Amino acid sequence: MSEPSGRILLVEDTPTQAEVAKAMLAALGHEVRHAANGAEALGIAQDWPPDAVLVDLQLPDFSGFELMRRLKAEGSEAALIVLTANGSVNTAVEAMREGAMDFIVKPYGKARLKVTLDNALENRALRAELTAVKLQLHRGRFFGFVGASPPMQAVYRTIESVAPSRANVFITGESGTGKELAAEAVHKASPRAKGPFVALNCGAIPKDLIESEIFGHVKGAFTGATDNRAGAARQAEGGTLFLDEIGEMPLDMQVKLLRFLQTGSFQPVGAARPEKADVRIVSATNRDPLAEVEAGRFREDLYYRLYVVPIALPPLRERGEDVLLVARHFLAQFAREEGRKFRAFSREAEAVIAAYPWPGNVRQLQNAIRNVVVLHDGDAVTPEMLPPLPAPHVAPPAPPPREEPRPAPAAPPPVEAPPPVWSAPVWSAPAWTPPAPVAPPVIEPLAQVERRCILAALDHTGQDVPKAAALLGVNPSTIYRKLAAWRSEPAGP
Amino acid sequence: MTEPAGRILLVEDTPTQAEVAKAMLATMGHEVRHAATGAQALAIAQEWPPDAVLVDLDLPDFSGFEVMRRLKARGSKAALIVLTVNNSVDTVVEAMREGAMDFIAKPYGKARLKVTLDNALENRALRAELTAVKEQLSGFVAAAASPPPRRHGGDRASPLRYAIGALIFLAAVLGLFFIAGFSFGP
Repeated sequence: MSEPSGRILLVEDTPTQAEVAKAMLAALGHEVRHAANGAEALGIAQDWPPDAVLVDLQLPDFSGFELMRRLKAEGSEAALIVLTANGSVNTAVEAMREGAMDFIVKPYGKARLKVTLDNALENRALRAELTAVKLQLHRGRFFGFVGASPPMQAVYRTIESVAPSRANVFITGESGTGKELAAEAVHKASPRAKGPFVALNCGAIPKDLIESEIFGHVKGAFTGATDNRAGAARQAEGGTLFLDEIGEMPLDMQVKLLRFLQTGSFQPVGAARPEKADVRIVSATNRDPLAEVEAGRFREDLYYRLYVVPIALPPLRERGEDVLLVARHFLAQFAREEGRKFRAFSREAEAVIAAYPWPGNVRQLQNAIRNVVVLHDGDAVTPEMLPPLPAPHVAPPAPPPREEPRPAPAAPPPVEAPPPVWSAPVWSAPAWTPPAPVAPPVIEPLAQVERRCILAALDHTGQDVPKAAALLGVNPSTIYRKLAAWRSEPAGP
Repeated sequence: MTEPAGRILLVEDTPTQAEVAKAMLATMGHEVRHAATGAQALAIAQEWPPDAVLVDLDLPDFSGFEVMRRLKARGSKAALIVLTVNNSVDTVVEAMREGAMDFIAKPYGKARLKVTLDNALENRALRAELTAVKEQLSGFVAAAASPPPRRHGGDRASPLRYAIGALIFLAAVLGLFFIAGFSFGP
């Protein structure tokens, strides 16, 4: 049985009884302060918050009940135990009603005091622990993440579990699901949090420079190497190195990375001697890692070295209510940044956002909200303000290569900066609207589909051809041409 | 303040005291069963697992401590409250050592019984909830972090092993040719 010890405030006006009680409490291992009246008790509790208070009901200035009321009013979380001269039902009932946890009838012995106090302290400790643990189950925020859905709770929990160890972490998930955010969370939750966090996008680095980027180079090692340069591995010394899009790493580089993982040693390009670095590796890919291994593009031994603890980030469409939570978070953030009045989404706008599957995940949602805030202002965001969203029947880009054009930013993208080149996708599909009740797809001639789309766009924009053309992602002249062609046809659908 | 109602097993051999206790417990809204001996108590607890047990320490067949020991040995999770005639420190200390959560000195009134019982049941409920929530949390981790899938064919192979295997195979084939006396050419 655990022996909880704590801060006990004894409020007792009879001196002899107070002395006896203080001695007993001290013998039990508690820290004791004594007040002889209610006012003194409140004063002590103010700057010495007790874990438990023993309250004599008969006090010179105000009743024990009044003291309890005032303690509670000041936000005291101490366990309250009433000391009473009689064990009458009424007294006890009122004591409990005022928030006492238990009562002790005078005169009392050491055994009674000990058991009652221990139970009260344990109850308090259990409640505190329960609150803390429950909080972990329903977190709406976790480092940079916003979201409370069960799949995200699992992610938070996993990050917390894995962060303290040195084990390599492997993050998978569609593009835009927050892989770098997850890597940062792992870093910040780890003992290495005070150390550097270096993020490298292996897909954004030209293949012939990747070794130098990771392991550095010495002056003169190759054309353009005008100085010694510390690579990411050296820069991350004592901290965490995040290798994003690790599937893009060429095979010869994979060998060197494997050696680094196995021994901690590496050789900067052109260096005569190997160096060592103490680095924790987190890696990520959009692709299916196992498929890359089977295709021979990724070394199996490196895969098993990296893939020690997997964290799978769920796509936004599988995160339930989170879509709206994240959207509201971005709205508040961007409205603040851009000085807009927006406070919320209209119900219709929320319906659109919630129904859209967001193939580009959080990054796509973020861009859409930023678009809204930059181009509009008002109290609430309406559906018309939302940018056109690409038709969702395009399969999300899992394997193979990324859906973005190759941008090659010079440095690894910093966390807070706008995401790299989510360029306006080529819209060859109609502007997306919430799906109507589902009918089985009818395969019809493309020309018919095209006609319907163009007419729908013209309808939507009030026959404004340039606007319709912009929505459809084509040149206005294309529409004029089609319109002319249709007019000269015999009457159609 | 919540008023948890529960299954209370009263182990009391003095009939009058038992009647009074049963009446008090009933007014508090609890379900009560009464045993007058230790053996009876164990039998009842077997098919009617109680939430709390009020144990008189002086029983005709075996001591209240023994009842507690046997209940615990059978895996009972009931909160144990000891009913004692004396407040002696030794008795109480031993009661707590045997796993009692609290003790009530006889004679006791309704207020004492109610508060002690309520606290014991609440303690038990808090512990159960804590266990459940912690299990839920660890369930999350199990779901999100499963070991990496292995390729068909199980074991890690390395290019070197493939090469050696291929060489051995080749040697075996050549060896066969020699044994069979097969020769190339005319």
